[in-house]
Amino acid sequence: MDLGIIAGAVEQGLVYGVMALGVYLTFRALNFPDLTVDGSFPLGGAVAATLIVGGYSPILATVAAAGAGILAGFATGLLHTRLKISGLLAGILSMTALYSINLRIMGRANVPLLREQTVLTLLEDLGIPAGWAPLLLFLLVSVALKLGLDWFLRTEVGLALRATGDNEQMIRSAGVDTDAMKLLGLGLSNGLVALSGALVAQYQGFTDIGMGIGMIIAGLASVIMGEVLIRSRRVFWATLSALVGSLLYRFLVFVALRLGFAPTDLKLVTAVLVVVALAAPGFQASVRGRIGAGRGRMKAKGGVVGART
Amino acid sequence: MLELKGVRKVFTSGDGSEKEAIRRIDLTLSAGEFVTVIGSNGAGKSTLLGAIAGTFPVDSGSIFLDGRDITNWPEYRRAALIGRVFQNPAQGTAASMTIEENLAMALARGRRRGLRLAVGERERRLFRERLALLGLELENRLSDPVGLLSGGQRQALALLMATIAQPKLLLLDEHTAALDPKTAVKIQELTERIVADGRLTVLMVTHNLAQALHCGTRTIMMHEGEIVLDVKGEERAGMTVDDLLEAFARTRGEQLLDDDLLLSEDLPLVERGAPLA
Ligand SMILES: Nc1ncnc2c1ncn2[C@@H]1O[C@H](COP(=O)(O)OP(=O)(O)O)[C@@H](O)[C@H]1O
Ligand SMILES: [Mg+2]
Repeated sequence: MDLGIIAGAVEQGLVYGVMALGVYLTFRALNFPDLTVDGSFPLGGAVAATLIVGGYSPILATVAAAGAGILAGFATGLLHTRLKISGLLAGILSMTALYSINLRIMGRANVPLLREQTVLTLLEDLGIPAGWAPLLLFLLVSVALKLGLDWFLRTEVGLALRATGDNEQMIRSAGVDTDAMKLLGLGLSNGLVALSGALVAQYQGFTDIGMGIGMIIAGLASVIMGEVLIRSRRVFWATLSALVGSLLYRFLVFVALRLGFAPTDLKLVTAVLVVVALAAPGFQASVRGRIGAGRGRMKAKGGVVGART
Repeated sequence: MLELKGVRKVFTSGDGSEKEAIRRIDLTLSAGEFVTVIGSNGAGKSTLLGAIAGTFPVDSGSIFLDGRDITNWPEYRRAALIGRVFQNPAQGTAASMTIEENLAMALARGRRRGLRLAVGERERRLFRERLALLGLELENRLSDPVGLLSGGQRQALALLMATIAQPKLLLLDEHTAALDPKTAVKIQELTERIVADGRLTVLMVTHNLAQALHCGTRTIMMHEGEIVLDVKGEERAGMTVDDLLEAFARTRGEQLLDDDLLLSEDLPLVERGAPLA
């Protein structure tokens, strides 16, 4: 396997790793099975691409994409907390609505970014060789966001958010508005996801209405595979494992393609990967270890994952 | 301090049937009172505590705490004034988070939470000091996840969490009932010490009648959603468990009932008139 392919897998692993951090935040820290991701990822691509084509700075476009993702997360959160719609269904509703919204934003199903300024061409303008720009940028962004998330999850608000995912009754009787925590977590998570979508669009040179399909399962696959590799559930290691899992997942995708799977088969391959990881004895043991003396974290709220724990 | 006026709560179950869990409760507690609450299973004790804590809205009546009308406050807002320990140790702590993180969340009760690191050296020192008082050697395990602790250790931690920010009112709902007898005694001693040190106002539900008389300053008995007995001072000081049972029978004008009171299935058997174990 030549170096170019490995470098490509690393770049993708890092840029999609930002999305995996978002998935970690909802599925693990907040214990909320949020499916908005399949809509907020292309939302990020749509907003960024449309603004870039419209002549705005790629940095502004990327930041705006993250902002749009935050709003999408709030929408899911409001459906869940105000209208009492189940978390899963709230996410599916947002995801579905976002399909139409993304098409409206883009005006058509595909927006090419060739010859446009992107965050990557900005780096090249600074004198960084084109071959290195993606690796450098994605490494910087994903590590900075990981460290930022680590810090946030150790602040007073961050603790309250994690406790909302662990024991809602307890943290409410310590004075925390758990609905607000869910809104915050969903907003931040989908902000990360949309940011990832914006970067991916600029990296691959186009944005496509279908680029979010199966994204949540890819994110989940990353998070779960990372957990198999890195067992510690401490925040620092848990967010690192989401990034490492994303790298591993993208590497396996490259391997699958080399083995002759058609790109269209990848969703099936991913789904099988997730099922295998969930069924693997090692994984189950790690889940059980995490649960410790008391409650099943993952089964607490009809989680999609770990129905068997 | 705490005043309930005509508080009523009706639960509607899935099949549409209604259950009046507490009916027109009037209750006033002055600051520093330590009230023990007894009554048979289903009498409405937990519902009374839930109504005060704001776990659910009440159907009528009003609740005042510390001079404020909290009837329409959501649970998380009341929590600024109220500390609470549940029967199940798992309910009062976050298993996946560390001891110091759990304590830090409890310490922030009633304060605005911000983007400040929750646990610093100052907090650690305070936590070590408070944990040492429990005598469970938890002070050297600040960064262990709470899920690793035993039920008794978790309940002790929950008790510390409920009281570390000096609540106006402490609600204890059979908080020793899920523990083995030895641990239960230990947690009970701890409770009395913490309450005395902090001069807290307390409502404590217990199914141990001897204990209900022995500790605290006042005892109320509930039956079918009403307070049927309320004793304090001299009257209470001279009371035995037998007196309690008789008083209950008299108030209700019924022949009692020890079966009902003493033998409901979740009750450990209390020797009538026996001193506190
Ligand atoms: N969430 C609820 N839904 C329906 N009925 C309830 C609920 N909580 C309590 N009840 C009913 O209200 C009554 C009082 O319950 P509770 O306050 O738990 O009694 P206690 O704590 O004294 O044993 C019981 O008949 C119980 O079945
Ligand atoms: Mg009860």
